[in-house]
Amino acid sequence: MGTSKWVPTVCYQCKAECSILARVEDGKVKEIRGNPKSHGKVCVKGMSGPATQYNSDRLLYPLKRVGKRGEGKFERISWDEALDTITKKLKELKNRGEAHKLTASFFPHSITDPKWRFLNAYGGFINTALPHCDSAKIVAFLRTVGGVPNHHIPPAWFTMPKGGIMILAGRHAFGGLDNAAVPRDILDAKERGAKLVVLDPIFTPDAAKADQWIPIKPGGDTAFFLGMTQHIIAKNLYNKEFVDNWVRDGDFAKLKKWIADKTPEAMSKICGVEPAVIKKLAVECAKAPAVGVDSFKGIMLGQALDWGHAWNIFLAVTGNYDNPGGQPLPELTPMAPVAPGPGGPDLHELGFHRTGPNRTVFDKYGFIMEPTWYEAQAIRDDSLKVLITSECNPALTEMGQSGWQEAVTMKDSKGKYKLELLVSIELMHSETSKFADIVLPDKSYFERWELLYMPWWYNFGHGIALRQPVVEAPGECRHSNEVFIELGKRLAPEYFKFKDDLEYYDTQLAGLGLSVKKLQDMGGLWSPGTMGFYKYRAGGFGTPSKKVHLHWEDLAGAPAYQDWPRPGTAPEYEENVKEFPFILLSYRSIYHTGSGQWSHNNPHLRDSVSGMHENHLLINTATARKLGIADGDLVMVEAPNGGKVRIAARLSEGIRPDCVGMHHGFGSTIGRVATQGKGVSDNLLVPDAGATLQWQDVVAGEAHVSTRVRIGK
Amino acid sequence: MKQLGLAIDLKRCIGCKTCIVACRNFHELVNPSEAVPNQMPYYLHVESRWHGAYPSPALESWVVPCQHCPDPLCVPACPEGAIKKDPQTGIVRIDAELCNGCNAVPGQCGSEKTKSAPCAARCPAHMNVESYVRLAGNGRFKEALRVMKEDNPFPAICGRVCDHPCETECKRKDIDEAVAINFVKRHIADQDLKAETRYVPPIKAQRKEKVAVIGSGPAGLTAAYYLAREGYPVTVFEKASKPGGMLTLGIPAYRLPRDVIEAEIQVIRDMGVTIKTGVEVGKGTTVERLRKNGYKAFFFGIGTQKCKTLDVPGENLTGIYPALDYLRKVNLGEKAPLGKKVAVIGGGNAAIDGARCARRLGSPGTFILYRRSLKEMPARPEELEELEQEGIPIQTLTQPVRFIGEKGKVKAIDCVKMVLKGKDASGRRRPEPVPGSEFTIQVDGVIMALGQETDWACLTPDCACKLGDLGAMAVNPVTLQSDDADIFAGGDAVRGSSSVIEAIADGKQAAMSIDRYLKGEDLYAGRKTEWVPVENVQKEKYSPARRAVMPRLDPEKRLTGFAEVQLGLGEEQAQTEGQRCLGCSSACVQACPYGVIQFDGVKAKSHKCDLCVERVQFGEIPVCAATCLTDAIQFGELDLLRQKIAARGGEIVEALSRESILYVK
Repeated sequence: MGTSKWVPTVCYQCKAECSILARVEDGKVKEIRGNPKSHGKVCVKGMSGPATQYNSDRLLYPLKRVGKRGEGKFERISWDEALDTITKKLKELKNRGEAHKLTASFFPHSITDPKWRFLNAYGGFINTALPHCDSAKIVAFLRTVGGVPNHHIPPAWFTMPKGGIMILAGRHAFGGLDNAAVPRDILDAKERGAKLVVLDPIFTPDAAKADQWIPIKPGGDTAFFLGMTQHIIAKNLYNKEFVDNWVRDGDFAKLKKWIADKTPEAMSKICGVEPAVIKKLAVECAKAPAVGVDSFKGIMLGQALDWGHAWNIFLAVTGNYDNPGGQPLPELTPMAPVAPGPGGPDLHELGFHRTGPNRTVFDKYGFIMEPTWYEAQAIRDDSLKVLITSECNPALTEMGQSGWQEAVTMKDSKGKYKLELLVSIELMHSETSKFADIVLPDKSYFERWELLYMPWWYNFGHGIALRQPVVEAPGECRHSNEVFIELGKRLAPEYFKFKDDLEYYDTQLAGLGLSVKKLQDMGGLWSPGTMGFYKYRAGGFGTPSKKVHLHWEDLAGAPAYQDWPRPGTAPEYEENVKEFPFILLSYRSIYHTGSGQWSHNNPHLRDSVSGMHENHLLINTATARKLGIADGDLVMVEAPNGGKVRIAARLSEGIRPDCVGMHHGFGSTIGRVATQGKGVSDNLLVPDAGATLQWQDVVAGEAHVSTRVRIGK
Repeated sequence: MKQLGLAIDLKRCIGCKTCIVACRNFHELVNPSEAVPNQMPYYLHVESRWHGAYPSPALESWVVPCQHCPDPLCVPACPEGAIKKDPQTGIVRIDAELCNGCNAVPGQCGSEKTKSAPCAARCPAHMNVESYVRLAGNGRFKEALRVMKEDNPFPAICGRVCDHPCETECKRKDIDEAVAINFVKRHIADQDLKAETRYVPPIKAQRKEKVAVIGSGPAGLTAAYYLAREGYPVTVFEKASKPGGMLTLGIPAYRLPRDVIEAEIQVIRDMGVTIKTGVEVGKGTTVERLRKNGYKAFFFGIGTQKCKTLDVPGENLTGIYPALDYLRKVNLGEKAPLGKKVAVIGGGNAAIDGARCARRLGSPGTFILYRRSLKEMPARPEELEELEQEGIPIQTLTQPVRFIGEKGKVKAIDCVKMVLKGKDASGRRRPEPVPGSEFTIQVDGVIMALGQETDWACLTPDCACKLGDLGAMAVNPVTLQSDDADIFAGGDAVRGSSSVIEAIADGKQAAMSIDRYLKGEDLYAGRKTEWVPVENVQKEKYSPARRAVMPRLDPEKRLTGFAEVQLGLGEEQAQTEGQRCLGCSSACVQACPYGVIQFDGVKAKSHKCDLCVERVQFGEIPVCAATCLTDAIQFGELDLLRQKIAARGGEIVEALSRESILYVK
């Protein structure tokens, strides 16, 4: 191993973006490790990075579509032709006053991502590329405490004291997305005497290690936490010091009055958990030195904003903000702005959900990006004309995926596609790129520069990390950031006077007295050295009153009625109960990222020994017996939207009898490896979110990812 | 010797499989551009187990690397001696220079070599045939005996009386004739006949739960052998005066000399098993009484002793013997006078045995009456051959309808000729009487060999277990557990009359079940029930060679006594015959009970976990331990690991920690 070296960089096998070391030998990535200067761990997806890097399906040249959308027929073109085509269309769009009808769909790695800058400068919008991201969590925290703890910001489990309580409310923390070190940190905390409680209709690997598994009804989290909060207040066990000093004046009295009838007994009927269990955990939480709560699927399976609200009320009443073990409130690292800064269009006037027939439905919409799940409907509404997708696969990840595929092939009266241009920037062909007009070969995370700061709080406190090329890109691959900078130079040159991405990052880093080179020499990581606790004590919270807002008075009355959390579960569970007796839980595991080819088309992650080869219909053993279903039997699952799939049943003692589970992200139709894995896509059963607005969260932008189903042979 | 190993913490392992991929990367086990899911090698895999039921289930997961066994089965199993346990570190390594992939051709064997050899797949006891035959081919007879006795406590007995279905499957037949597996086996196993070359398996642990085995036939003694090896105190109860069941009482000495039986039973005695003869459970003592005396589990291997009858007039005349009664008397040296002309009725092995015994004991006019034709006879062809050599005729398509006596003693049989029509339930052609074809044969004695059934007098009302159709005990087909959780059964008592090797297979499976039952473990988990045989076998390295011929005693000399007829292959002959084996699968892959050995079809070599010895030499820890997501894997010297576990209040899960990898709770 004479020419072998370990290079620090940042993983992107999933959106957690953990710090890693990559071993490069003779110009090839051979091995991955967690970076010991960060938390030192990398999960099975990260370990599988070399198989993504050297996948024989990598796109190497720009392509243009030569068949119909969806046929997947392409021919090679030059970068000049590709960029000229995109530039021409964008100029035309802007000239006709419709720049806002451009949306770029990508995971915003960092708030200074040059892609974002381009969109602001041009006048288009961004969505997160995650149809079921945790926008409602972000909105709930913004409204309550004025901070943005997104899904990368769980409690700092490594600060959880002895006697503390860790509650995973529909959160498969062992499956990734925060930081690969989270499972270790939770188990360490448990070993030093903290308690782990898992609320989940499915017995997850986390539940297998928990002190207590509470098989709650899907969407019952709001009711469960309201019941706990009511009990804590009624028993006078709430944190007086925090409430008196840090809750907005008058809010607690209003809460006390409103919550009086949300007793554990009343809430038990909604969440399906015994009142005694709710009360016991409530008292334990009130007495514990710290309570940390994390949630993700809990958000997706219910009324997300209401749950986020109830969660925050619980944290305030027990005083668990910004304390060791509790809910952290991160600050952003101060970087230098790259001048001049483009303002960007007004999301509240011009976002694709605001310009169509449903604009009034979104009156109270409060998320900072367009709702990804409205993409298909926006095409139908003529509110979206150019879509650039990068590192995402909406043709498979969109709820009601066939609705998305139909929308991008819809034509106007003149026989032209309603969506005038679809560009896909990807490592490998995906279900989405099959529909694209232009397909651009992206650089992998082992080949590109990226300055990352924002969500990586668990890793670095309020720090930053450098993703740097460790090997050369094959063929003519260019990173999407390079593409957007080039488009910026062509379409908004006044905002793109810097030479390239490196100069852009250097300018920003100057705010910290750093440069890319310096950061590289430092091992690619910078942090202020502490994450800080009780920061609100100096200067208050980020809300207008500088205190915690429990009551959201602007959402009182019609149409939202959400000034207090609504305890009920999702409306789609209340309909079609008899014909569709089971709730379908779309769930995830550590072997899977969204519906991207980097996990789907990766041999390790689709192997039965090292990953997951196919998905099954998880069904409670007793339920299956009643239905005469044996393990491995092929069953037909049907949903109210008309979707039906045939899938093998897997009997389990680890799922509620009134639910069935299906692992998300299967049903691939493209890719050397992905198509060898069996399984079906859950999104064929879940309704098209944009077409079922009555069931969606139009305030915080959360789409529901579940449905009722029936099981037949 | 220092033993390096791993401690895997079940409280921490979340079954995420990160280590598996890290290990593949470090050892460069896959080419990421070409790798195909479910066809990639792996040195580690994850196993898991559910307990309990909703809403309080529990799930445990753990990693399984090579266990670096203290007494590894792969080491003796390798015909080339390519696998060694390092005396310094205790690491078991495969020498890539010496491994020849069991004669595979590089780049052409694909994944076929990881399946089971057809012989092993077919053998009811799934003996690692390929390994011992090829070891014999390389003159490594000692290792071969060790390999055989992993799967079969009675190889010397089987080497003489087994119906060897393995040979039926042998792929060598595609070139010329099947390998004479059974002859080779016998040659290897005859080392067991002498105390100085005998292999007595080591006892793994000391356990206190007493186990009772009822019946000392091959099923019962096999169960006793495996249970004793696990460390259980085992008592075998035998109602006859000698142990061995059908081996001793049913099979004549010219086929299976008594000293061979005695030698292999002695090994079981040497392992600490107590055999009590002359004790009939169900009379005198009962299962309930044995339970009260502290027996925690029972194995019923009581065979089939009651002979079936024809249900025709005159069956009770003197001079008519049920075959088993006759053979028992002969085998115990008792008198059973038959006269000069003896009719043996039946077509199975017991009929042949009866006829050949009668011929040896002063009945030159012995002949066989069989109602079907020669083709349908269930007896083994080689026995029919020996029968012919000994001048015993078979009268086929003949069915007795009446026995005629004089002064209470048989003197003639009224018979009818038969014709074969259609098919019966067994798939054989059905015999029907030809009207008007009756005739009479004069005889001095008769042996009735029409098959047997079980005498269940041992089952007293305190047992809940049920008998199925045909009087066999109803047991779970995988675990052999009956409706009484502590009662297991196997062999003829469950199957009806079958073979010695099937009885051995049952005894082995039942012992595994009893061990798990007594440890409170899942009886099913991880049990291999499917054996996928290799289909495409490489024949490039082989040219035609004649199958070994078994030297036999001169027919003239045979009839004067009970000397063994088959004389056994010589060493050179056994070695030459062993070299005829095509090595369909891979001997070490077959031998490993943990399924951790990989076969590289491109290089045509076996490979596996070496605890990252090249890292360890530089003071680093194995990759799995270095990359474990939850710090669940610790590496070190086994003794130190044990101390660390104890210091942290951990508990070693004995049921999993059988070798050099410790599983901790």
